[in-house]
Amino acid sequence: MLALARGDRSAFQTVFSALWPFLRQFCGRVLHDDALAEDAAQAALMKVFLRATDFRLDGDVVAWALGIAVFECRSLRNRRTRRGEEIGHPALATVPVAGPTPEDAAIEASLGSALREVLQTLRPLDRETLEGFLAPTPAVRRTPLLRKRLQRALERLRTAWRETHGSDD
Amino acid sequence: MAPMTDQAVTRRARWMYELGRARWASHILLLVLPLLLLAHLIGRPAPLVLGLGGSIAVAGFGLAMLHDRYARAVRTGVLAGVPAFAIPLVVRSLHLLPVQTAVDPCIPAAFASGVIAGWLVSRRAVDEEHQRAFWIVAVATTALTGSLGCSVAGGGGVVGMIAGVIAGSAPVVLRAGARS
Repeated sequence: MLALARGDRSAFQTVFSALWPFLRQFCGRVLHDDALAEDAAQAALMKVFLRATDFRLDGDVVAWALGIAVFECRSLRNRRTRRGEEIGHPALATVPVAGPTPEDAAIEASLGSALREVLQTLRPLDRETLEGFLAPTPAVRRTPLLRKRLQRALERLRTAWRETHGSDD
Repeated sequence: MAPMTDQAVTRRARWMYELGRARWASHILLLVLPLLLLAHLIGRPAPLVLGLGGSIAVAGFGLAMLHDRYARAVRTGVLAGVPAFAIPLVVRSLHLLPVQTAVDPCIPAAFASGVIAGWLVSRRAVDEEHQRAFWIVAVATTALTGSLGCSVAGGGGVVGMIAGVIAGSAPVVLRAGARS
């Protein structure tokens, strides 16, 4: 390294061969992420060679290179963390909210199942009236008789629901 | 950063090394450029300042980039050349030598300053590992730097200064040769 610092280019390959695998291994151990470690090792290596001329006789090349590598690892990790935060907030803001959330869908499915169970306990006439009313396209006209039947069927359904699942009060 | 092959990393690292070396070598210009500015301010001809000064700056930068020993040689050469640059100018402007002589008073002044420069360069060269390379580069730089001032006496001043450099170097070089 000292020879390279003085301008002896023949030392370049020796220094490169010693430093490159060493920095890659070190960054890999520090970051536990191959891609990030490769980037950090490359950045550290480039800085080592950019500043090679500043290296002095009393310097420890390993400590010097590791110092640069630690700085690069920290910088890259911080940059990635910041990028994650930056991406996180706007990305959340663009998530569509029109549809039901998974929680709402689960509650709805549970209530539907409970309602079907209670419906099975009603009389067939009440059940048919309610099913005809709840159908997307009602098959029968809503006459006063049907409305009366519907009112009774709903009352019985409420009673049956309270008996099965209890009251809100 | 995109993944690179080892060859690409080697090339890039080499490029970064040369870039760092160029940055370091550019420090030599901090020594050369003020001298050229001074030469221009005291009225030395612009073509001379540009020609000689440009040569010193370009050669100094290139040599400093090549190796530290040449950077040291250029620094030593420029500093040793400062007396050769200044003394003839001072002699002429202050009329320190009698003017009624056949020889331009600046020529002996250039010779004397050349002796000083040669002695300084040679003393410094004996401490170097590659003495000959150091000495050649340093003497060439001294000659160019000194010529900025010695040329006030024309070609005779330059020749006198170069003769002085050789005369000043000779004893030190001979003694170093005798030791080794």
